[in-house]
Amino acid sequence: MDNQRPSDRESIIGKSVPRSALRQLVHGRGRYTDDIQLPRMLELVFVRSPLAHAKIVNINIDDALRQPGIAHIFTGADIAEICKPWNGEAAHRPNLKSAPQYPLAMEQVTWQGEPIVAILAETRAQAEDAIDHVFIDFEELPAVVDPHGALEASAPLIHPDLGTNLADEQLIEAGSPDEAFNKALHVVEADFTFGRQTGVTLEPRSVIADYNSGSRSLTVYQSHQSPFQMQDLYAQNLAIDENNVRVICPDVGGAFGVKLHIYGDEVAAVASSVLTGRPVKFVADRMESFVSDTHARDHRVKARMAVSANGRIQAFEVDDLSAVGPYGHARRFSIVEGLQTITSAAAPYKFKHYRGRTRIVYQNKNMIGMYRGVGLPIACAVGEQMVDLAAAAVHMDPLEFRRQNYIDDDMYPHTTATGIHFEQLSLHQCLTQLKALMNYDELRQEQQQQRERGIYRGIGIATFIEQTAYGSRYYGPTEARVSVQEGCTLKLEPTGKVRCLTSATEQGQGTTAGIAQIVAEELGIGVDDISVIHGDSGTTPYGGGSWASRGAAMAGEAALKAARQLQSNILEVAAALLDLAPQELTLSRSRICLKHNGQSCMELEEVAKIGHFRQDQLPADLQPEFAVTRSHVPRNDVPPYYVANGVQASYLEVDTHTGIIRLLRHWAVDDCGRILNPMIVDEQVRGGIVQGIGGALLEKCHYDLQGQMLNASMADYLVPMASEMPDIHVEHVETPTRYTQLGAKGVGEAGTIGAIGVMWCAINDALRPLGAQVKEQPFTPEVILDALKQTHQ
Amino acid sequence: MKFEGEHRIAAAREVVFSALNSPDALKHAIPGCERLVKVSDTEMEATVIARVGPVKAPFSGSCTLSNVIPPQSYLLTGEGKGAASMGRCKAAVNLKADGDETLLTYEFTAEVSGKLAQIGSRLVESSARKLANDFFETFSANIVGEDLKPASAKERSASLTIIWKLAAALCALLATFWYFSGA
Repeated sequence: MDNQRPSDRESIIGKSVPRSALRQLVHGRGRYTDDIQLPRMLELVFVRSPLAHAKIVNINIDDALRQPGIAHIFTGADIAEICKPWNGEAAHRPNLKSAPQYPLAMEQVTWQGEPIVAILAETRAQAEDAIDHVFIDFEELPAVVDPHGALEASAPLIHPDLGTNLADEQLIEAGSPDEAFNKALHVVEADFTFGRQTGVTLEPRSVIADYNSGSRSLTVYQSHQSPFQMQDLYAQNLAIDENNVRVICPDVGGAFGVKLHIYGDEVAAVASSVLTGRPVKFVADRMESFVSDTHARDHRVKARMAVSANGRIQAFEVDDLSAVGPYGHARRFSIVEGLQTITSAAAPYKFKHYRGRTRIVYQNKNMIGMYRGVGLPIACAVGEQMVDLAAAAVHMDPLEFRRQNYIDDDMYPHTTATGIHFEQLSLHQCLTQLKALMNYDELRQEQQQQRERGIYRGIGIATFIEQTAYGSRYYGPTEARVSVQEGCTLKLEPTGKVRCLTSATEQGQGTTAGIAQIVAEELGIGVDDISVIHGDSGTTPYGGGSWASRGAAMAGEAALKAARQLQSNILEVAAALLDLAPQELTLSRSRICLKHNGQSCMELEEVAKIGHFRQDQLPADLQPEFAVTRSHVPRNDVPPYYVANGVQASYLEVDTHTGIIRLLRHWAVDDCGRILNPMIVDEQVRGGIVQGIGGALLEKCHYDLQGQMLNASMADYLVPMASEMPDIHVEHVETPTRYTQLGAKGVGEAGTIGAIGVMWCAINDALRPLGAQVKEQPFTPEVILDALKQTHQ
Repeated sequence: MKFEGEHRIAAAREVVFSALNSPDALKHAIPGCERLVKVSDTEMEATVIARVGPVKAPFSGSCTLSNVIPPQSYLLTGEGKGAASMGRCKAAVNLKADGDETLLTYEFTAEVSGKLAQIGSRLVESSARKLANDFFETFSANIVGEDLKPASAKERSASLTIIWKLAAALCALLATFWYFSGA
C-alpha cells in the first residue's frame, strides 16, 4: 500500500512537533473530573472491607444517617435493585469461570478494600466523618492468599458456586517437546516469582454522574480510557436507553490500564445518581486507590529450555500460575496476563517444540487487571532469562546467542511455535543497532576490568515484542461488547480550520497530537489549524478509546482515511470554482495548488467560505461535503494485532554488600512502524522504561497471610524518582505495517515490556561470577542479598 | 506488628502486682476515655476518643485478662472495632523482682486489618511505641510516688493497680490504632 506522501508538500508526520494541547495543562487550565462542579452535587465515599474474606452478617447505618450533612446511604442491596451485576466470562472460553460481581459487596466480601456501603453527603468531609458511624458485623472467613494454596483441596472456596478457585487453565503444545527435551544436550531450568504491583496514576480514579430524571438521561464525567465501553455498560446494566447516556472523559492524568476497567465503586456512584436524581461525585483517595485500583502481575513461573551443543534452542516449556484476585474483570478478563505469558515468552526465537500452560486462580486480594504491558513484561523476562541461561550453558556470548536464535529475516510472515503471527519484525537490525549504540564489546571489557577490582556490574539485553492494536478477531468472539474499531470525524470550518473528532482518548501520552499531525499532513494545513476533540461518547465517532497501544495505529488510520476523503471533497469544490479537474489540484500550506508545479490557485479559506455560505456560486449538482467520518478496524483476513518489536539493554552495578543496585545506563532500540512524532515516541519509550524499572526494583504490593495489604500508601509503596533514573538512550528502526496505509504500530507499552526482563538479565549477569541468581522480582536489596546468601550455604 | 518493652520500677514486685482499683480511677488515667466498665474481674469495656494531632476518632474496645500468675505474669488481650479498621492485640506482661525493684517486660503483638493495616507498621508502630513508653514512664513515676509517699500521691492514679494500668496502656494503644483507622 501507499505510504508515500506527495513530494511537493512539507511533511509533518515524522517531525517532533510540540503538543499544543499541553499548553492548557502548563497554564494550570487543565480540567480534570474533580475540577467539575455541578449544582446540587453530592459527594460520595465508601465504607470498604477491612477484611479479605468474610460474610456480611449485618450492616447498621442508623447512626450514620443521623450525622450532619448525610443525604443518603446505600448498601449493596440498594444498588443491586437498579443495577445488574457483570461477569468476567468470555463466550468463546466456556471453561473460564467467574462469579457475578455487583457494584457493592452483597453477602460476602472477597478482598480488603472491596466497597460495601456508599455514603452520600453535602460535603466530602461530612461523608468521611460518617464512615465511623456505620457498623458492620462480619463473620470472618479464612482468606485464600497463596496462589498454590488456592488450588489445594483444603483451600476455602471464594465462590462456592464455582466449585473451585481455578478460573481457567490453558495449554499450548507444538512439535514434540518431551522428545526434544530428552534428546537435548543441555537443559536449563528456572523458577520465577513476579510480585504484585499497581499503576499509581497521578490523578486518581474519579467519576461524576448526573442523572436527569426529567429527560431520563445520564451524563457521566469519568477519568477513563474508554468512554464508549462505559456508555455501553451504563446502558446495559442500569437499563437506560443508550442514546440518552453520554460519557465524557475530561483531562485524564495517567491511566496505564488502571482506568480501562469496570469498577464497582464507580458504577455505584453512577447508580447513586440515578437513585437520588442528584449529581454525585466520587474521587478515590490515594489510600483507597491502593486497595481498589486494579493490580497486576503476581505470577509464579517455571520454565525450561533445551539447547544444542552449538547453541541452537531446541525446545521451550513454560508453566505459569497467575493469581488474579477474587473476580475476573468483566469485558477485559483476567486470563490475559497468563495467556500472553505462554504465547509471547521467547517468541522472537526460532524453535519448533513448545509446551505452555497457564493456570489462573482466584484469591482474596484486590483484582488483577490490565496494566501497561499486561502479560508481555512477564513473557519477556521469562524468555530472556532462559535465553541467558541457555547461552551460559553453551558458553556463548548472550548477544551472539540471541542473534543466532532470532527468527531469520527471510522467514516472515512467520507463525511461532507459541502461536503468534509476525508480519515483519526487525530483530536483527535492532540488535545490530543496539550493539553499536551501547558499544557492547567495550562495555564487556569494562565489566571484566571492574570485576577484577571486585565491582560487580551487569549487562542485560532483552528482546521484546509488543502485540499492539488488537482487533475484532481477538475481542469479537468473547461477546464482551468491546469496540475495537476507531473512528474519526473531520469538519472543515468556514475559515479553513478543521475540527477533528476522534474516538481515541488522551491520558497524557500525546496520541491526539499525532492524530492532528496526520490530518495536517493530508490536508496541507498546520497542526494549529486543527482542534482535536476526544473523550466524549456523545459527540465523537464510536470506538474503543486508548488502550493496548492502539491510538496511533488505529485511530491514526481512521484519521488518515477521513483526511483523504475530506481532501477529495475540498478539491472537488475547488476544481468546480477553478474550472479544473480535481486530480490536477492538491492542498498545501492552506492553499489549493496545482499539482504539477505547486502554483497557488486559491486559499483553502475561500473554498471553505464558499462551501459554507456561498453555495450559490457552485454548480447546481455539487453538494459540498465538508464533514467526513471514517472508521478503521483491522481486516478479518489478517492477524488481529500489529506486532511491534525492539530490544533494550541495561548496564548496572550491584553492591554485593548492601544489595543496592545502581543504574548506570539504559538503551532501547524500538520499532513501532511508522513514527508520527519522534519526540512523543521517545518519551513514551522512556516513560515506559521508567515505569518498568519501578516494577523491577521497587514496586510491590505487600500482603500478609490474612490478605491485608501492608504498604498501601505512598510512604511505603515506592515508585521511581527522576533522580534515580539512568540516562535512557532511545533509537528507532521503522518497519511500517503493510496492513494499513499509515503504517504505524503501537509504542505505549514497549518500554515497560522490556524493562523488567532487561534488569533481571543485567542483575543476574552481574551475579553470575558469584554463582548467585535472583529469582524474584522486584529486585530489592533483600532479594539480592538473599540470592547471594544462598551461594554461601 | 510486634514489639517489646522493658521498664524498671522502684517498687517491690508484690507491691506492683497487688494493688487493685476502681474503673473510675482508671477512666481518668486513659487519655480520652469516656466510658469504662469493668464487666468482671478479668474483663472491661471502654469507649475512647483518641486525639492525635488534629484528628479525633472514637472507638470501642474490650480488654480481657488471662493466665494470671500472681505476682509474676499475665496476658492481656484486646479487641477493637470500627467501620474502616479492626484490630486485635495482646500483651504478655512479666514482672521480675530485682532486689527492691521490679523489672517489668512486655511483649505486644497486634493483628490489624483495613485502613490500619494499609498504613503499614512503620507509622502505627512508632506511635504505639511512644504511647507505651510514655505510659510506663508515668506509671512508674506514680507507683514509686505512691510507694514512698502514699498520702501525697496524685489522687486520680494513686491506687491504680499495675494490671489495670497495663490494661489502660492497651486501650491507649488501641486508641492509637483508631486514630489511624479514622485518618
